[in-house]
Amino acid sequence: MRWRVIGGAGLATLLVASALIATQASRQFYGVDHPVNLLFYFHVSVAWVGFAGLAVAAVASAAYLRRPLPQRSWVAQAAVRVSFAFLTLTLMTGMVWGRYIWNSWWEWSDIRLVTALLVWFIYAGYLVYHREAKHAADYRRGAAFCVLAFVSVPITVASTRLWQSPFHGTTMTGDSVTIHLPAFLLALAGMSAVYVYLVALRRQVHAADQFIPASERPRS
Amino acid sequence: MTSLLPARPQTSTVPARAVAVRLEHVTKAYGARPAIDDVSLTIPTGSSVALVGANGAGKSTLLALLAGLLRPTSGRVTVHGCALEQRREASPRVGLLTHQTMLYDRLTGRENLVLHARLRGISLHRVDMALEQVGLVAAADRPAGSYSHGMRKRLALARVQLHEPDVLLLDEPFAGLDPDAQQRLARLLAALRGTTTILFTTHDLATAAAHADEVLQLDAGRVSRAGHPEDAGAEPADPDGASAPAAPRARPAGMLRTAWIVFRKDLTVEARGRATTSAVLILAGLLAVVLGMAFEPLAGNPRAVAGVLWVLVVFAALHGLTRSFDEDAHDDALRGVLLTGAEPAGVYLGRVASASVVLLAVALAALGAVAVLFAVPFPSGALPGLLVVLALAVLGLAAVGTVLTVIARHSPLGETLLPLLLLPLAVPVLLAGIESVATLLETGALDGGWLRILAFYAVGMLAASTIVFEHTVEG
Repeated sequence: MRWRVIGGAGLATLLVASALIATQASRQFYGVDHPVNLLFYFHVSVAWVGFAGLAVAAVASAAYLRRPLPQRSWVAQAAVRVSFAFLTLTLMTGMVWGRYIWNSWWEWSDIRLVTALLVWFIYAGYLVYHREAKHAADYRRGAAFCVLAFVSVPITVASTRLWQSPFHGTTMTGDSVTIHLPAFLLALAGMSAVYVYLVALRRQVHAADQFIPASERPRS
Repeated sequence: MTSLLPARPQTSTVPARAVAVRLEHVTKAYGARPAIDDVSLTIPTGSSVALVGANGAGKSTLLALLAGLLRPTSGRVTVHGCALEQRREASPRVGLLTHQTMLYDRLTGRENLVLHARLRGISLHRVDMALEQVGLVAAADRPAGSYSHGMRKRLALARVQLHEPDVLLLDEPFAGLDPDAQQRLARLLAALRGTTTILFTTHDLATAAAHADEVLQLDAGRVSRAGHPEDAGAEPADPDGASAPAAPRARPAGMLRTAWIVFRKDLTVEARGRATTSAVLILAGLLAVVLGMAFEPLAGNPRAVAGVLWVLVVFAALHGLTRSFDEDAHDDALRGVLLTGAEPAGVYLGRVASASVVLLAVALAALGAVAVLFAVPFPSGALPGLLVVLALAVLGLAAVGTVLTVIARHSPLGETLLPLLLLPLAVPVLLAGIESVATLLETGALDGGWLRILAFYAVGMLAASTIVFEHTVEG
């Protein structure tokens, strides 16, 4: 019940944030005035929450390796699954934005895009691996991979500072970006609440899975 | 014949019927199905116990739990008072013979035993004694891969006896042996009876009657009956007996020594099989010729050399690490190494070191071949920089690749999963490696920024993977 309340509150907050963004936020980013710039609020918040979720997954996986309580593995798996969906949304919203502003769906020379795609592939590998996991030893190996995979996240987050990027500036601190901070914080809070709700939901699925023989489990 | 009987303290110092092996409410589940279901058991020192039961009753799982090969889902297992989690204390006390012989095919019989003797920290003269005991002296210098099934099993028996374990665990030891080898084994078991605690599984009640003081019957993961062979149900083991004192034993090799032993073993295996080097050098020639013919502008282009070089190095890593792991996985050879009580981190570091050396040799050979075929001159003084860049890059690749190979090969998807796991994680190495080599070939100067990324990646991945490796190789 409490998770539904959190999820509902998250959706409501996102609605309020959307209204605020639509009416109050500036549509001018990087010197270009276009409504698609408003995607920024959702693109950044979904990316931040997705990456934070991967940090949660890494911590839960490390804890699982230290002491293999199934609950820790469920949290890690649920967090990766939901973060993967959030990362997919991040890439898609970024591509839509790029289509209008850069006149290109994808730019291989943009380090942030490329590193974000690599993170997506890395966690796709994690999900593929877990489709076939059956025994406790498989889950331990999955947890070990999750810990290693997290190395890619800080690299991606810091990529625009580590490497010169011709397109993707440092998102929040760039001179040519004026952010409506309350709207952004609301979007971030709403997205976080939705994330927590989805992880809790997914965790319950993993908890229920243990009562179903592996051979009869639906592949999700 | 030289005796293999252990030169241990007099048994008179050990309390009569003191407990050698104790299981307390041990459960081992695979998914929802318990293979061992809440088993509590004590086995007295020096007794010989037969485990009987139908296929799938849990006999082999019970032996694997006692050897520390598997972790119980719940409960506790101790051997002479040592919890099995204390690997370095418990491993010298246990010897396990399974259906897998845990031998390296490309090493000779003697080299296999020397490897285990070194890892266990015991004298190498035990190797010759063990070979003599199982009648393999004449075949000792042949590769184990050329042995018959029976010879492999005898060599495995020698491996198990090498460190004079207090507790000997034998999974269907008579299966697959010729009559002569069966007699040798029967004589060995008779000689050990009373001094070494022996647990063996069998389907044959006559074998149980001949070699056991006590029979345990396993049924669906539970011990359902215990007693003497001829009188099942009589005189169960004392559950409250004190554990037998643990006599001092040789300590298994430490982390760095283990790394050195595994490094030498891996290089020997690679030198005999040339699994990585030959395949990659053939691909190098093919790529150079095909790309050279297909793309005229590649001639004289240092960036093309860097690109082709890293395609080869990544191919070498994917191919070489997979083949190397297959050598380890074949017949559970790696499990055998871990059963010695050697530090898993040492095993990991040894494997990374050997993979790095092989990859570096491949990279240097490929770089020379591609540079010559693409007519790209080496700037004077570029070689030390190239060596540093290649060494750091292959170290990073080997560090992460070694762990990911183990993860991928344990998945039903096998080696098809490895590129998906490894390539995205290896991108920093590829990017920095290509840029560094291209810059070196163009200008002769080393780019400090890319070098720092390579160094940071190699050290970071090595540290993280050293910590998690142990969890990836457990059964």
